Amino acid sequence: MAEKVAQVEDVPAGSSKLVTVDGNEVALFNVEGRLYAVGNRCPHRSGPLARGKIEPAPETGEPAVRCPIHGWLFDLKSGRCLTRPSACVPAYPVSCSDGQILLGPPQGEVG
Amino acid sequence: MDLEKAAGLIESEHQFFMKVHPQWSLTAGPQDMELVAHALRVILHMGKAGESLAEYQALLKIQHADGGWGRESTEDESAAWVSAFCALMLIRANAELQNEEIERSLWKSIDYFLQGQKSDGRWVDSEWGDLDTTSHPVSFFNVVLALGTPKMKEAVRSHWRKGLKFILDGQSQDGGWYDPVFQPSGVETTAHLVQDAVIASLVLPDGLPVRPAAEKGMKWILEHQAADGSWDDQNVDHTMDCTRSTLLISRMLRAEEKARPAIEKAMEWITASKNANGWPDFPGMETNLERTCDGLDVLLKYEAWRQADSLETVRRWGYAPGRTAFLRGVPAAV
Repeated sequence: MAEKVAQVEDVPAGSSKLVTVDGNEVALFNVEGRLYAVGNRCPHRSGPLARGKIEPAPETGEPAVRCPIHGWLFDLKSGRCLTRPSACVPAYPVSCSDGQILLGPPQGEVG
Repeated sequence: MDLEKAAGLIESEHQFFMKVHPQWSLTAGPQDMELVAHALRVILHMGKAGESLAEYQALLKIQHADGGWGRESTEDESAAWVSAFCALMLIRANAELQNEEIERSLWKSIDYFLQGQKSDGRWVDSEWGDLDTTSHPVSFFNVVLALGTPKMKEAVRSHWRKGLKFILDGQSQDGGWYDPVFQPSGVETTAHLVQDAVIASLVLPDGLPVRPAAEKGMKWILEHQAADGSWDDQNVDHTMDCTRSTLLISRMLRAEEKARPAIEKAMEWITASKNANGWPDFPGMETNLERTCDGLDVLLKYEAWRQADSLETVRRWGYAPGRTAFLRGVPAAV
């Protein structure tokens, strides 16, 4: 079941926001009007991905977030780590309704 | 920064550090080895290595047959970056402990790095960029050349030069070091490389000419400081790295007055970013124990930098022999 986590206006284009879902930190990103949500903690040294910079993934050009601590790169759609393929963060399906941002159950391991 | 204030912070944060001993000590159980190495550095710079033999013996117990250590104390596979950090802590502690078992372990470590070096001089670690990874064994070898036995020095010298050359060749025109995969911003990589790998050559015999590279590196670091005194978008870890790097390089290049405003601004920011106990990864976040160890390390190195004895800073990185002030009970005076 989808959970309301924020207002759309709380995450303007080019910004990020940290929310909590079932006790887990989730980083929300608005990349050119499109919303993404991934687990906030990098599996390397628990760096906060919500503080990371967005950049295009090297091979696909799709949006990716770079961990601000040691630079691991994560695909925002799948949560897959592009730096170390065996690592990943959970990716949450995002939808909007009545100005609210809703997250579905995560894909990938949480916590 | 007022030295009394620094001393007070060191005291209170060290108390917190010791209070959470089970969270970082191998004597308490399995640990994250990067955290263990950070904690051992605190012990060293607090002048407590002599009374902490058990911590180092616990490190020896989990050394792998190949001479390395894993990222976790329970991991079987050795990793270059953390292994170099562990070896560095052992050799520096052994300057005080003079323990034969530690010396045997150091020989195993040396062999691990001699075997693992690639033909172009670098070392590799799947979780770190090549430049950053290489800076750590080079840093270990710096200290071997400063504090090791004559046979150890002979064993590492050519490999050290090769690794150092790989690092020097990797410096960009603008003075920074970048890794397109791990650290495109270059901040942490540059801060690590200049202090860990490059600058020691100024005081070690048979080194490569590093002054131009170090000067460019220091200029790059200072140019990238934000107006609030931090680096890399208020990144506490990277700010601490850049501050420590600047402390060391400015002292060794005799450019203290040029760097002083940046250092004082950074110390002010670092102090303001602290939680009630410990430091976070970013201001406002929860305390991170590894960052707390870094915070203590910055304060202790700042204290050394303020000493009238200019060599004290160099000793505190292990690049010059001699008992450091904290072991001699000499208070900071400048």
